[in-house]
Amino acid sequence: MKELFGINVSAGYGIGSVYCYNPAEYIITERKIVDTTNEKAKLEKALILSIEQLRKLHLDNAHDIGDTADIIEAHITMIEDPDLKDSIVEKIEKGYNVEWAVDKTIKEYVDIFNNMNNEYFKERSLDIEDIGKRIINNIIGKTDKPLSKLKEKVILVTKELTPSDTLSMDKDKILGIVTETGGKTSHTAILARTLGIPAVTGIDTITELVNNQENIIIDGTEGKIILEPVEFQINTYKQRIEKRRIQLEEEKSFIGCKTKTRDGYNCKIYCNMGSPEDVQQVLNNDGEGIGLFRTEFLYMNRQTPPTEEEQYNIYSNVGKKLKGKEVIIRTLDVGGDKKIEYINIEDELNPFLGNRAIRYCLQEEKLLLTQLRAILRASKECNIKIMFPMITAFEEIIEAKKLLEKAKKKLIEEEKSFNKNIKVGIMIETPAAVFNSAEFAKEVDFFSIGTNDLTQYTCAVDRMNTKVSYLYSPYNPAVIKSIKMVVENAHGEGIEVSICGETASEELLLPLWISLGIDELSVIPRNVLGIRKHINSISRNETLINEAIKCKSGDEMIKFLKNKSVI
Amino acid sequence: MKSFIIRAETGLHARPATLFINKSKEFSSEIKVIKNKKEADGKKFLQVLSLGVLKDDLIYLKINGNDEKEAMSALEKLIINNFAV
Repeated sequence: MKELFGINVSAGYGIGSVYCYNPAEYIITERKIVDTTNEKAKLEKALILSIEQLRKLHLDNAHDIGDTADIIEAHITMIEDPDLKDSIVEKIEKGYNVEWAVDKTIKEYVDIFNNMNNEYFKERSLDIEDIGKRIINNIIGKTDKPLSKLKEKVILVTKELTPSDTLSMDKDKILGIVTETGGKTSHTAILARTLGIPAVTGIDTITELVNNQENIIIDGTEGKIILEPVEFQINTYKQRIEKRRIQLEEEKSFIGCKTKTRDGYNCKIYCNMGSPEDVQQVLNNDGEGIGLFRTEFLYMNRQTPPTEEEQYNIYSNVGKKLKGKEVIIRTLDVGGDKKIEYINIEDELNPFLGNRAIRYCLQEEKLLLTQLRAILRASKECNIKIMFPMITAFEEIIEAKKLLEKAKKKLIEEEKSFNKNIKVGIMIETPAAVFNSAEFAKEVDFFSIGTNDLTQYTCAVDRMNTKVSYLYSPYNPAVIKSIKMVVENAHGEGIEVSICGETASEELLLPLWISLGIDELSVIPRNVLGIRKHINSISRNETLINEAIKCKSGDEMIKFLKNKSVI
Repeated sequence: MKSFIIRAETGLHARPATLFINKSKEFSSEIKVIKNKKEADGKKFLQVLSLGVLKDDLIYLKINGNDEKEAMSALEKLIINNFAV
C-alpha cells in the first residue's frame, strides 16, 4: 500500500484498473524518394481525412463547453491554409518523403509562433503541433484512437492530455484521470470537473510508477492515489462510491423543483463560480443563478490584464448560457492571499488588512473602469448585477458608484448600449460593514455576506495558521449575531441579502439561514441539489435565531443546532 | 492602399483572423495585409496570424483586381466593427 499526493482538481472517488496512455512519439526519418506523385496523393488524402475528422468532432462537441468549438475551427482553418500545403508539397518535390515534409513544415511554423513576443500568439504553436500530429497519424495510418476504443472502464494515467485526446476520448469508460502535469485550470482539470470524473494532477512520475491493468484507488476529493490498496481501503472507498451514487440518484429527482421549505418559504440556491467552465456545472445541477462570479482567474497566469473586449465576451457568454437567470459579477478581488504577477501589491506585513480588493481597485481606476465597462456592456442582453468586494467604509461605496457612473457616461458617449438600471451590491465581509449595514443598505441594491472572510475578521484569526485555526469558527456566536444584524438591516431597507461562503452549504446552519429569511444561498454547483433537498424537508422557526444568539460559545451553538435539527 | 488602426481588443488573433480571411476569400482580387513592412496574403490564415497584429497596431490593406472596391469596403466594415459578427 502506497499513497501518492497530487492536486485535487476534480472531486469524487474511483477504484479500477490502470490504463497507461502514452501516445507513442513516432520517429520520423528523412528518406529520399523518386515517386513524388504518390507522396503528394498521400498528403492530399491525409489533409482531407484530417478535416473530416475535425468536422465530425465539431458536430460531436457542438454542445460542449468553453472554447472547444473555437479550437476545432482554428484547427480546420489552419489545415485548409494553402500555404501549409504548398510548403509541404515544395519539400516533397525536392524528393523528401511526405511525413518528413509535414514534420519539417510544422516545425518551421512552430518556430515562427514561438518567437512572437505575445503570449497568445506563442500558444498557437501548440495548435500547430496538434494538427501536425493529426496529419502525420493519418499518413502513416496510425488511426487507432486508443482512448475512443476502451473495452472496459479504466483509470487513465498519462503525462498530459491534449485537446485532441480529450475530444476523442470515450468519456463513459473513464473512472478517473491521473496526470503528471497540469493544475486546477489545465485542460484535463476543466474537462474532468465538467464531466464529473475524479481527477488528480501533478503526480510527476506516475506513469513510471504504475503498470497497465494494476488496480488503484483515485481520490479526487483529497487529491491522492493509492497504489496496491489493501482490503479495508477498497471496502472504505467502495462504500464511499456507493454512498455518493445513491446520494446523486436521490438528488437528481430535485432537478427542476423549487427550493421551498415545508411551510412555503422560497430560498433561491445560486452558485459560486471560479471559472467560465463552471457554467456547465451550474446548468447540470440546476443552479437558480450565479451568486458569485469570481473574476480573479481572468487576471491570473498572464503578463497583462485582460482587455475590455476579452472580459465582455466572457461575461456575456456566461450570461447568455444562464438564459435570463441572475449573474452577480464580483469586481476584481486581488490581494490578501491572491497574488497576480503584474499587479504590484508590495509584500505587506498584513496582506489581509492591506491593499486588497476594492481598496486596490479604487487606486487603480483604469483597471476597475475597464472591468466595469465590460460588465456594463454585457448587461445589455443578460441579467447581470455588479458586486464590490471588501467594503468597510461608506466612502468606498460612493467612490465605486462614481466610477460606475463614469463608465456609463463614457459608454453613452460612444453610443454603446447597456442596462441603465443595473443593480449594484456589496459584499459584507468585515465587522465594519456589519455595523454600518443599516447605512450601506440605503446606498446599494443588495448585500452578499461573504462568511469565510467575515468569520476571519470577526474572530481576528488567520485560518491558515494552524496554531490558532481552532478559533476560526462560523459557529462563534459573534458571527451569527453579525449575520442576524446584516439581514435585519437589509430587509429593513427592502433589499435582498444572500450568503456566499462555505457556511451556505453547512447543513447544520441551514435552518438558521431560512429562519432568518436569507433570500438566497450561493454554493458550489455540486451542492445545489443536496441543499435543495434538505431545505425542502424543513420548516422555518421564527424563534430559532433568538435562541441561538443566547449561546455562550461555538461549541454550545453546535450542540444547540444539533438538538434542533432532530425533527 | 488604405491604412487602419486595429481597435479590436484581441488584435488579429484566431477568431478575427478566421473572419478576415473568410471575407477575403469572397473576392477574386489579390488582397495584401501589411504590418511593419511585412506582407501577408489576406486569404491565408497562417500568414495573417503570423503577422501578430495586436490592438492599436497600424496595418495597411493593398487590394488589386476586378472587385477591389467591394473587397476594400467589405473588409473595412469588418475592421471598423471590430470583427463583431
